[in-house]
Amino acid sequence: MRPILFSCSGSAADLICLAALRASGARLCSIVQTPGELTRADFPGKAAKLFGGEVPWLQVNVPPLRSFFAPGGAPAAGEAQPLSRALAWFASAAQEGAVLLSTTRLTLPAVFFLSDPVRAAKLSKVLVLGGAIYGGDATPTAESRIYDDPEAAEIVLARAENATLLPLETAKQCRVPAARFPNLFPYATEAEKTDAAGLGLLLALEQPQAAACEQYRVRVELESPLSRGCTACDVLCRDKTQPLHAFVTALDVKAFSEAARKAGEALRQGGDWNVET
Amino acid sequence: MWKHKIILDTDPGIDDFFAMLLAADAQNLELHGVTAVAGNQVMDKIATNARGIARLLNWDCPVCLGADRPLLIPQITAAQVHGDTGLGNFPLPADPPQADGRLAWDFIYEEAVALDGELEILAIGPLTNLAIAFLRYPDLPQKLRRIVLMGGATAWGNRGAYGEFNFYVDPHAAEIVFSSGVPIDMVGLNVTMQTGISDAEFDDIARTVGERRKAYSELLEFYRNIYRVNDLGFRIVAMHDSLAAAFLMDESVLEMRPANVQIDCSTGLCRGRSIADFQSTNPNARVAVAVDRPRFWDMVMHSLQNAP
Repeated sequence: MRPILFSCSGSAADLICLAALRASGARLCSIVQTPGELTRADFPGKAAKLFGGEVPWLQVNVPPLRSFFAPGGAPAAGEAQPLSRALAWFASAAQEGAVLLSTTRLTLPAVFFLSDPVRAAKLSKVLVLGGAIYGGDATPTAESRIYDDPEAAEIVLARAENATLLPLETAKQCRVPAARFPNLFPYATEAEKTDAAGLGLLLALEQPQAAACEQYRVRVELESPLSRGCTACDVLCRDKTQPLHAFVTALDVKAFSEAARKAGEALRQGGDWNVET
Repeated sequence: MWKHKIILDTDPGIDDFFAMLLAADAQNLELHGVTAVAGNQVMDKIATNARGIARLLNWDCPVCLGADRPLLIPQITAAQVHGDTGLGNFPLPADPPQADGRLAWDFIYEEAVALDGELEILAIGPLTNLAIAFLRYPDLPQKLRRIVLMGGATAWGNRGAYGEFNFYVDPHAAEIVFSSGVPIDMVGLNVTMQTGISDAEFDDIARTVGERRKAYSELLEFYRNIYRVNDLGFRIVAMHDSLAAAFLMDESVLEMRPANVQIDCSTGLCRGRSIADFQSTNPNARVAVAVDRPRFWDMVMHSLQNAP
């Protein structure tokens, strides 16, 4: 299997995704964390414990891309170094033909696609948790990860050759029983304990036969006040000038449950998750 | 029998024509006038078609002309769907009535006042005429009983990713209408596309209209072929406008849900998108979500059996 670069916010759901990666034996080359509303302070420690401290981890406090385009919008001085380092990790992963797995806003991948297009083209696949075909959660039209940085999403979707998105409609189906990961999140909300959308995206990567995909031409709305951040999916594919990407529209229930079971098992073998490492 | 008192606001248009046939077949509609609006074709052709259809159906109500372009943005048509005339090669009567001298929005207001809150609008084209009427007569919303319209979509569109043609043509007009406070029933693409005509149904229609009225089946054949020839993204020939007319005649043909509908008036990817929030506590419309197709199809076939 191709190595995986994991771009995430460090949420409880991201830990479920990491557990699934661990369970599947995937080779994780690095974790780049862009903090967000759902970030868990103990994410780095738990991620390190899951992978025995072997996986490089980096946190970059990069603002949404729109601020880059405004006067004085460059990242704060203190963030320049982590950003450079993150981009170097992206480049190194792409050079290896890695898969980019993103479960957060697409700011860092977009900066990578803009700043290093030759190597960005070497990513073997771009997996994006986010977007919505018809209705959003941040607004009636926009899904929150895309809404948080629509310019970045537009850049990634316009440039990625081979993107697969797991949209909100499918993410809502990716629920697991709260008891599946009991020892991981004694603090987490019910919603956080059951959200395994990242696991669904991984399943689409590892077992393509377990994921039904539709090919849509898609762009991100940037101008409309009402629809900003919506992934405008031309489901009839009439505009041939737009990029074509795969949307995971359904997952095999048995395969998903089995992947969740394995991820839960990987966590149980990890012992006490409340202990920071 | 109590009857709906209606003005038909239309841009005929092949599917508008079949909606008008359906309305002509209704026992519970009282047609007070036809108002024409540019949409499927440019105004000259729409006016010719509206007058010609009125003659064909022996309607003696006024036919008033209205807006020849959208409120703010450049005009587009659907000539690639409805052909150069807007009605394929259908032979309309050669002696159509003159258009009424009143403009569409003035006529709508006059009738609304005269009918004292009983008037309903069946709007099956872009909503420009109605929007102008609301701008010109701010008290008009209180004088209308209801608007039943064909437009919008809760899923994908037939223009752009999410835009339905009537709203895509003039999104600003649609937004004005949805903000008017008049009760609105929205019949969108999400249900009209479920009225797609199968090959077997095409054969049924041909048998029903027979040799004497084969112009009707030939018009539908024209409609079907044009979808096949042009790359429109889908090949379903649907009776979009007829479904709105059918709902006015018999509400059981559609399942409706209250929603707050906003129209995206941007000119980019989401132009004309109707954003229906079914969770809203402030609904401004009922939106069609499911169709009783057999019931609808019975009504269509009945209207064809009685077509002139």
